Amino acid sequence: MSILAPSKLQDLCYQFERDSPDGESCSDFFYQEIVDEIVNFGNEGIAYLKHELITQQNHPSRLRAILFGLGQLSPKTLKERNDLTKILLNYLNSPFPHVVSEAIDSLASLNLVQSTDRVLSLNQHDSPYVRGSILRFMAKLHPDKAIPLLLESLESKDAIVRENAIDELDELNIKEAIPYLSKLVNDPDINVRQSAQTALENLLDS
Amino acid sequence: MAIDKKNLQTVKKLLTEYERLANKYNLNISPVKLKQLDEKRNLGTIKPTDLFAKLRKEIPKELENTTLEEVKRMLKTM
Repeated sequence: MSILAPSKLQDLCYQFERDSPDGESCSDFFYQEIVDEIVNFGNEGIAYLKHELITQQNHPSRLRAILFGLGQLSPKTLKERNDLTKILLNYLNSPFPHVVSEAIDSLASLNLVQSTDRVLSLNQHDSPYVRGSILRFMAKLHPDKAIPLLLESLESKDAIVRENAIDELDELNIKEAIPYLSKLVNDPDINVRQSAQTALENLLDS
Repeated sequence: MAIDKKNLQTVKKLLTEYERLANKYNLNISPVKLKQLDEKRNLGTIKPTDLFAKLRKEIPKELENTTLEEVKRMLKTM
C-alpha cells in the first residue's frame, strides 16, 4: 500500500500547530504567514481555520493569525457576511490586545461598517495598538469622519497612536496635517519621526 | 485601479519602512526574513511580493511585482 505524501494544506496545518521556529516573540508573524497560505486553499482551508478558532482560544498568536485570515475572505452572501461579523465582534472582547486589534483590522478589511459603533466604543482601550487599529478602521471605512479624530490623535501620549494617525493622514492625502507633521519630525519617538518625515514629503509632493 | 502617485508613494513606503510598519502592527519580523528584506531593499530589488502577509494586503494588484527601483523611477516621472 502506498503512503501518500501529505498535501500542501496538511503540511501548512502541521506547521500551524507547532511552535514558531523563531521563538515566541516572532510567533504572531510566523502564524500569519502560514494562515495567509491556508486561506488560498478555499473552503477546505477556511473550514480548518474556523475549527481552530475553537481549539486555539488560549493561544493568542494563533488566534490572531486566524482572525487575520478571516479578514482576507470575500463573503458572497449576506449570511456569510453576518457570520464573519459575529465572529470578529466576539473577539473585540478578547483579553489579548493584539487579538482585538487584529479583529478590528479584519472588520475594516471586510468593510463591515455595521461594526463601527462597537469598534468606536473601544476608543479608550488601554492598549495603544487597539487605539491605533481604530484609527485605521475609521480612515478606511469613514474617511471624512476620521479626519478630526486623526488630527486629534497626533497629540496622543502614545507614540504608536501618533504614528498610526500620521500614516492614515498621509494615505488620505490630508494637507491640513502638514503644519502638525512639521513639528512631529522632531518627535522623541524614532518611528513617529520616520512616519512624519515620509508623510510630509508625500503631502508636499502630491 | 489606475496607478496614481498616491499608490506609488504607498508602495514605496511599504518597501522601505516595513520594519517600522511591522512594529506599528505589533509584529516582530523573524531575523532571517528581516535580513532578506534589508538586502533586497538596499539593492532596490525588493518587491511587494517579498513583503510579509500583513503588508502585502495593502498593495494595489497592479504594482505587486514592481521593484523599489522601478517605483522610484515612476515617481520621478510624475
